[in-house]
Amino acid sequence: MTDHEGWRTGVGGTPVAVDVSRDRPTRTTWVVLLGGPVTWIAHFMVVYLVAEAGCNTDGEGLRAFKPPVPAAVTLVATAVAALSCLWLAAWAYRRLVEAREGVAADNPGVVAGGHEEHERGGTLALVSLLLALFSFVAVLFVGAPALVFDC
Amino acid sequence: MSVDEPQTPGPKVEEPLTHDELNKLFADPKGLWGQLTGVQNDKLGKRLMLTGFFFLLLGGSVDSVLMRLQLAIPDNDFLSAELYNELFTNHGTVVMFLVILPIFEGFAIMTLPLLLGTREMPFPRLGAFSYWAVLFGGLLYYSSTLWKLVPNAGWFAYTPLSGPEYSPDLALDFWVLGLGVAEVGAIAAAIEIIIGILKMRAPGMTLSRIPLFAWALLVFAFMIMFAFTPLIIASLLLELDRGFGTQFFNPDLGGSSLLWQHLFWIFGHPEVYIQFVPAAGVISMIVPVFTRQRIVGYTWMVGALVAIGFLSFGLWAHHMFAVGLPPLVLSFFAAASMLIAIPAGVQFVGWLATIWAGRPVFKTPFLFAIGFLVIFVIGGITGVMVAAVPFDLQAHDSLFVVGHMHYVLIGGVAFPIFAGVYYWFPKFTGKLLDERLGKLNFWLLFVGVNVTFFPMHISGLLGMPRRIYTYGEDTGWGIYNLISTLGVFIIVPGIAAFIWNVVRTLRRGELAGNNPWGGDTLEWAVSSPPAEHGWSTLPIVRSRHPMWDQDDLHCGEEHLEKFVRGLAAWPLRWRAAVIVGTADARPQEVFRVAGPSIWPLVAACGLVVIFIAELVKWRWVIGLGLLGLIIGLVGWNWPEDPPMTEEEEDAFEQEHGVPVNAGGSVVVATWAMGLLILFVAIAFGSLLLSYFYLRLENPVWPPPGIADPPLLAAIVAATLLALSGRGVYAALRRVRKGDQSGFVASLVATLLLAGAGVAVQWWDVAGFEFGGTQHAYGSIFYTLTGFLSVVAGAGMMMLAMAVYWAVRGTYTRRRHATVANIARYWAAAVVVWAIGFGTLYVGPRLV
Repeated sequence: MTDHEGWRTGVGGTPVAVDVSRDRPTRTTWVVLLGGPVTWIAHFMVVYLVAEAGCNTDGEGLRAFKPPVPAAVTLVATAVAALSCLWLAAWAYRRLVEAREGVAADNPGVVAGGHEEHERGGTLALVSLLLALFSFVAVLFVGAPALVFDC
Repeated sequence: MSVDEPQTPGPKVEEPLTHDELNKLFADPKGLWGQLTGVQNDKLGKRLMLTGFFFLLLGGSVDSVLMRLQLAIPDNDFLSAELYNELFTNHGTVVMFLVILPIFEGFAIMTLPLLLGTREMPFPRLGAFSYWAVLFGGLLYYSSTLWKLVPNAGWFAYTPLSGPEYSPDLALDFWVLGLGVAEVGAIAAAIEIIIGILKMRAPGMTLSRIPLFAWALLVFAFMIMFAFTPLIIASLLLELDRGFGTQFFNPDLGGSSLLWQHLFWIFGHPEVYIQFVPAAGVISMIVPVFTRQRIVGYTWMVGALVAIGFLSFGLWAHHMFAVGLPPLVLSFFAAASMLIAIPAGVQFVGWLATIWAGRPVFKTPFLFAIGFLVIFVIGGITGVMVAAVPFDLQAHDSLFVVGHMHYVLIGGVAFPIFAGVYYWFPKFTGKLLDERLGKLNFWLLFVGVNVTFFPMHISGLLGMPRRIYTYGEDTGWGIYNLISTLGVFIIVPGIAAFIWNVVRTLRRGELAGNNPWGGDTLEWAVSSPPAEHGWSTLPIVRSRHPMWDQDDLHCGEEHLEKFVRGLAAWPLRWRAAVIVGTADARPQEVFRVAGPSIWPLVAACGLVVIFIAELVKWRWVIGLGLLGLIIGLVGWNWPEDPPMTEEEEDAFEQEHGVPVNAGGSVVVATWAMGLLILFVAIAFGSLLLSYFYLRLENPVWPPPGIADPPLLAAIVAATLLALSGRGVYAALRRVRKGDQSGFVASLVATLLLAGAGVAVQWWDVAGFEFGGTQHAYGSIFYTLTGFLSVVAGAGMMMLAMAVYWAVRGTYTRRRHATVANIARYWAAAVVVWAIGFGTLYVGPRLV
């Protein structure tokens, strides 16, 4: 039987399945993990679509996209996305440090990167950090041509 | 870095007394009926793989031999130009849609339950539907040969060549509609794979312990969803142009032929990585086992797979460098195309470092892995070359690109497929493929591939275009083409050696034992071939390499040990499987996996009838197909009486702390609904992109003579829909409180509000004076309206079924997950509706 809100089984207090999506730590793990690549693709689509609108087309209603708007939008979007990636990298790094410190506190002398660290989410934190840093580089690499071309 | 030696012998694996009962419980029925209704994952996986190989032998390989014979010498007239066009179209189409994809989906469905330590895939009936759809789609496509209507516009079917003006017969319709069915099947399997990996693993197999092959398949399946859905939309638009006279790709009437290229390559380029990513996963399984060395850089490998999955969606326009895109746009795509070499390179470093640190054993699977490394790296480097715009403008549409592509696809995909077959064949047949024949197979292929495809780089640089059926002697391309053709005759015996090896081994092969390679992952713990249910006592995973590191596969935390042993003995009347937490892999739910059913086949038949009816333009038959599809889906999902009472479920939960849902999982159903909503969102996004692209291509929007659509009725309709969205959640609250009458009343009110909203919208649209065939504006307006109506119509059907079941008292305070899922779908449908009609009605007023 479920309790009055329908979120927990009456037997053992175990979350019933409809409540599983509310697993916040898991969601946070995914947000940090995928945040960098999602930022990259969002940045890519924004700069591409604005360039497509401003450089390849003409007509009433599209004048707002005319040069130098595509290059300017690209540079601004690149700056914002790059900073977002750095922020995500910092977040992932904090999670990695927390995982390592947690292991070190409970198991003095344990080498970093070992089994205990994986247990506490260290592996995924490291993957997140790598992805965020790669996304940072990728965002800059994609956006940099706007320094040369205005369209 | 510490290098731990794998331990031998392997860990202890329990086989309880219930093994035979469980085996019988998970087996499909015998005979023809069992073949038609079967859902067992080993069977479906093998079928998908065999179907892929069948299509390869039927078309992919014969075509290539004929084409190479034609090009062997200058001015050859062995084939006509028309037949040559048909052959290269068929070759590309079959390999890209009907061979590699079903083979990897087959690998996934067959290996994942054993690899992840679970008994089945989450939706066995969805797996069966996927198989039937792939088979029927492939056969529908191939049936074009019977009518001498073989598609001939290339595997990319560029408009306007593929449009009604230049391809007026039905050949291209076979391409669009046959592949459409197969694409639906591919997406269905992707949903199955995603949920299987994220939710159905052994207790303890956290995300950090998932084998790299499973990570690769997870990325692969998400990529299928994001890539194939735009292709389905593109195919829909092309078929509307061809069969209904819309103007999406007609530049004279507001359309754009480049829109097809964008939509196609949004699918087409990720498709290459859809094929490469699982292949990389296979290599990541094989290299550690045959070097007796843990993979170096597991974490980096996972990051690389995820990065490739994302980056591959930012490369599509590098296939369009020659169409006249602005320099800024070109530079975006060139940058992204070069960037993807970084994660690919990370994987290479990982594999090479693993080999360097290990002690290689040169068995056939490992030889193919080495072949992969050598050949793919050449294809990868030439890929970076063509990512540079100036070089691509020189090499574009030349044989250089054909050489590059085959190095990528044969080295990067075909070799890993062979490696995977040699590696897992003993597990699923109980017999080892012959090593001598395997080595012969490898060397013939390795030499043959290089002899065939390397000279193409040279002839391409000398200026030889691709897709020409002959060339003059004075071009100087003859010697390179002759060498390429000779290479094919080294490849053919290589393939023959493989086929002979399989046939011979099945008849009198050496028995394999459970773990012939000394593998580190879970599948090697069970018998070869495995029991129908795979695992009697689920493993408890405490390492990334459980077969190397654990001495007992069922030893772990006390409550987990009690849980897995409890599940080995109970229940024995229904197929129980376990859901775990996505990240922590703690058991969350025991649920009943669906059993054999004829309904997936009925649904697939309904689907293919719809497409056949459109192909032959018997549109009244579309209704019959739709009816078959709906009957199939309803029968498939018809609620069955749970095989035990709520009290019995509670008793297990009290004992083990894990909820039981004998009526069917609510967790995987919720995930499936989430992925269905994602599918709708991607399709909707593709249509919105099409809308805005067409808007950009037209200086005046709407075109002269058409006024902006009036807002009032659309606002009324959206308001009614929004109210219905609240209504379904009110129904959900009431059922959770046990208020049955209020629950039914709320559901009925939801349905009525939804129906009223849709009716108002349609009444408004019916009054417009512009049609869907005079201009691309009308085409996209009515297509988007139709899409939104289908999304809403599907939701209303779900609501109507929910009302029916609610009146019959199917839903209770505890068992009402279906209603929760319908509420989620309906909420998403309302949001999609609001954005869609907001775009259609408000968009023209803004830009």
